[in-house]
Amino acid sequence: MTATPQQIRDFLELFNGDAVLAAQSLQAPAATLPKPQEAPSGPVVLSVKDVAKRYKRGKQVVNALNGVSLDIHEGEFVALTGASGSGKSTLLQLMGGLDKPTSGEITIEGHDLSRLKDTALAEFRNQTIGFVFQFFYLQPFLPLGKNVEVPGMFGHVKPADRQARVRELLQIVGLSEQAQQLPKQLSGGQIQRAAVARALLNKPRILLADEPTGNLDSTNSAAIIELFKHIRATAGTTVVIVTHNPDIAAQADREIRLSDGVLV
Amino acid sequence: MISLRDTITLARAKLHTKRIMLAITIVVSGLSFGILCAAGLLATGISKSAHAYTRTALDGQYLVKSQPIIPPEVFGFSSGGPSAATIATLTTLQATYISQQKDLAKKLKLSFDPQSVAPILLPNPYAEASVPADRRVRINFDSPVYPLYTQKLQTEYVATAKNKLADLKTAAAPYGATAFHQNQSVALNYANTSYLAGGKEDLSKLGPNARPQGSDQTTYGYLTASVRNSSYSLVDDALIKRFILPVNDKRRANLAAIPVVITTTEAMTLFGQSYNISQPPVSASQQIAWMKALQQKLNGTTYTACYRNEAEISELTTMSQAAAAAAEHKDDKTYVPPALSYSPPTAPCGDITVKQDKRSADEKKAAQDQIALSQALGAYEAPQHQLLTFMIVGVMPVSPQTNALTSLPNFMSSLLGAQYGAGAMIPQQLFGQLPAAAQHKDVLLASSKFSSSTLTAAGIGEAIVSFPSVGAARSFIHQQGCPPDTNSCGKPFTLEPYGSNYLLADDIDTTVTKALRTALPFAILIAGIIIWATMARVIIDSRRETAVFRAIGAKRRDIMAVYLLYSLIVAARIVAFSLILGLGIAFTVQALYSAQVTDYAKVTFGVFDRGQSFSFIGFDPAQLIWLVASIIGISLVAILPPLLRNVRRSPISDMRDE
Repeated sequence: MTATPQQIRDFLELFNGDAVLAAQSLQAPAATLPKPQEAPSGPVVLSVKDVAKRYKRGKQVVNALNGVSLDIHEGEFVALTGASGSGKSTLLQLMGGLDKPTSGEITIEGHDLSRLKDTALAEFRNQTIGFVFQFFYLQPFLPLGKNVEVPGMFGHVKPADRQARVRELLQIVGLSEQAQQLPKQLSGGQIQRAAVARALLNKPRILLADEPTGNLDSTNSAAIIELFKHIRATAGTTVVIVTHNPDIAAQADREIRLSDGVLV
Repeated sequence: MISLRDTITLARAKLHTKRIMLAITIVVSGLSFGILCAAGLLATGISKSAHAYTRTALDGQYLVKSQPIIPPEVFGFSSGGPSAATIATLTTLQATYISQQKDLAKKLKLSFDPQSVAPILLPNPYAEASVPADRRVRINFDSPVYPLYTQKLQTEYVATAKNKLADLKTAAAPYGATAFHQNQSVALNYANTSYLAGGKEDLSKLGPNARPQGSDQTTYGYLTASVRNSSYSLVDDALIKRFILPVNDKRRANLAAIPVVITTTEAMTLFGQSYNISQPPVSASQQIAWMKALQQKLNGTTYTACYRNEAEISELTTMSQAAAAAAEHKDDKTYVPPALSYSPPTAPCGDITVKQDKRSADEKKAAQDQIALSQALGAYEAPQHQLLTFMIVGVMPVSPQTNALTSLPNFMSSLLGAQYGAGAMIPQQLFGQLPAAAQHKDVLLASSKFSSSTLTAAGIGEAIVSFPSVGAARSFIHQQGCPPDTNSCGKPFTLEPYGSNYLLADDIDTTVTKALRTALPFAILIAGIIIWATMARVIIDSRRETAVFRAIGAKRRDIMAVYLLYSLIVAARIVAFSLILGLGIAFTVQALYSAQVTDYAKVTFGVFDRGQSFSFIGFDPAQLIWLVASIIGISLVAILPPLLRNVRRSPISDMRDE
């Protein structure tokens, strides 16, 4: 899936101003936004097969996930939803290789994450997956531009290439002017957009976002979701977000609901 | 692996976290190491400078004074009184002596009363009850038999002694000894010689009950009141040439006075008033000028002392006892004064004359026979006195002992200054240039009751050995000698530094190095605890950051590199702070004291025009490497355990702990 030049121009125009204003404009004329699409029928990029995850909390064994199987296709925008404790974040982290399932198999582009050694998994994460967190987790004493650069530092990207990419991404998320500012000088929405830019630095094919709007107001939340859609639209990035917000989930191509560790 | 440049970027960003805690860590650890650094710099500097002065003062020679360890039994002393065998020997010696005296008297047709011979054994009322009655005796050192006894003992001792000069030379040769000097003690002492203060003689201070004047009986007392107590020794000129002043007109005009080097302290006491010499200035910078003025005034100055031999001292004793008895019996008309009485000298160092002699003809004959007999034996000593003229040819600085610790310069000079033992020094070569009559050898080099020509003739006596390095002198002292004032340690000599306490300068090195090595673990402990606590806190608080780094693709080793570099930067700051503080303290001490101590050192070592600046700062690369390595080591070791725990933790739990 590729965005038309006009779509990109419209989007950049939208975000070159203030994010709040941009979001307001997004909210009102729903007609200008792309409609939720049908589940794409492209190749499966992420496959979860009969995955279970159990862990101990004190003496109690918690079954966080129990026999979950699903496929996510290339360029798909998937929302994982469910009540607190349903296992949605656990599933996202397993997809990102941050944890290993107790049983079952997770493959990304044919790579079984459980079989990858620690170093290989780190490299794989660095190159293939972008993470966005609810609490942003930017480096507080690094300027925004350097913060966005960090995955490139770990990914051996040449400084010149990294910096060009940073400029490009900050322009996309509307923070070109703030490149030299520290995170504490920015609003929550701006910080999260910077975090999205950071997640995209190495051009990952999958973007995993754990409650990315959980700490934002509705306006900024809408802007972030639009950003995800735009990324999906322009770069074909597969986006998986965990959310408990039904409005956001409704904007995804597909909503996968979990309850007590099983798909419903 | 993350590039160095990116590692630096991330590590430097990390330095902004917990800045106050980090600053406190750097300051407190830096203080601990900085003081250690200053101590090292100062100790090295002081040691190097002291060594340089010692080298300059002694022309690169390091001297060791050797004293043979002679068992007290060789002089007839024994704890617990004489043994049965000793008593038998002494009784035989006494019988032989009396028999010889009798035979001689008969041959010379002189009368002889055996009762006139002072017995070699006297009853010992203090003997313990457990001692058999026939052994409750003590040796009478005034008996004419005593010298015969000691001569016998010493002749036997010399035959097997291992502490002769030849033995010393054999022992010192492997250490590279370059020269041997033999100092001679002078027979003058406070009991037989009086310093003629203002040309007057005080007879009351002579005799068996005399006590040292001017000071106590410590080495320091003898040193600072040696002229007043007539304590002299003949010393090789080479050993004291730095104190011997150039010949001036006063000295050229008087070629018959005994040359002597005295201390500044005594010079002040004896001549301060008459020569209008001010007290030593407090300011170190004026000390050299003061010292030079003092030397100029005293160079060639003469003073006199009167020596009276044992026979005259005996007459003086008789005279004073008669005067005391007369005073006691002044109202007793039955009191009969001694038949023979003396009149005191009418002039300083004058004759003692017979005031009255009411002895009978027989008494006079017995006395004359006794004299004739002694003369026949060569043991007669006619009453005599000699006026001795000394000329000051050098002044040796000596630090005040009582306030040695009141200031750094005093402390330094008292520790490192000249160490020549007790007594004013007569330069041997200058003394040898005197006309024979002016040398008064019969007085100055006479053997006394407790000195032995037998031992001296066998080469058993004080000697000074010269070595080309401190190390050689130190090894020789430690391996071949006993400490001074030791009676026995299984070795034949006591050995100690001479001329200057160069070993102390060397010991400062060793001791301070030891102290620093002892202090280093404490400094490491203190700094280590602080660094550990801070670093551990910083790393523990970085768990989420570590987890995020891992989520965005950092390898464990990337994260290790970032935090290890962070730790190195912190260590580098502690190193910088420590060095700046250490150098600051050292340079402050240098600025405050160097000029002052340089002047004191020049005075103390007697090298006014040759001594270089006394530097308090000395760089020892090994010490600095130790310091830097310790700080870096602590910082790295402190960070490793929490860091390893962090990178091994699951990033999930750390990211969800919001």
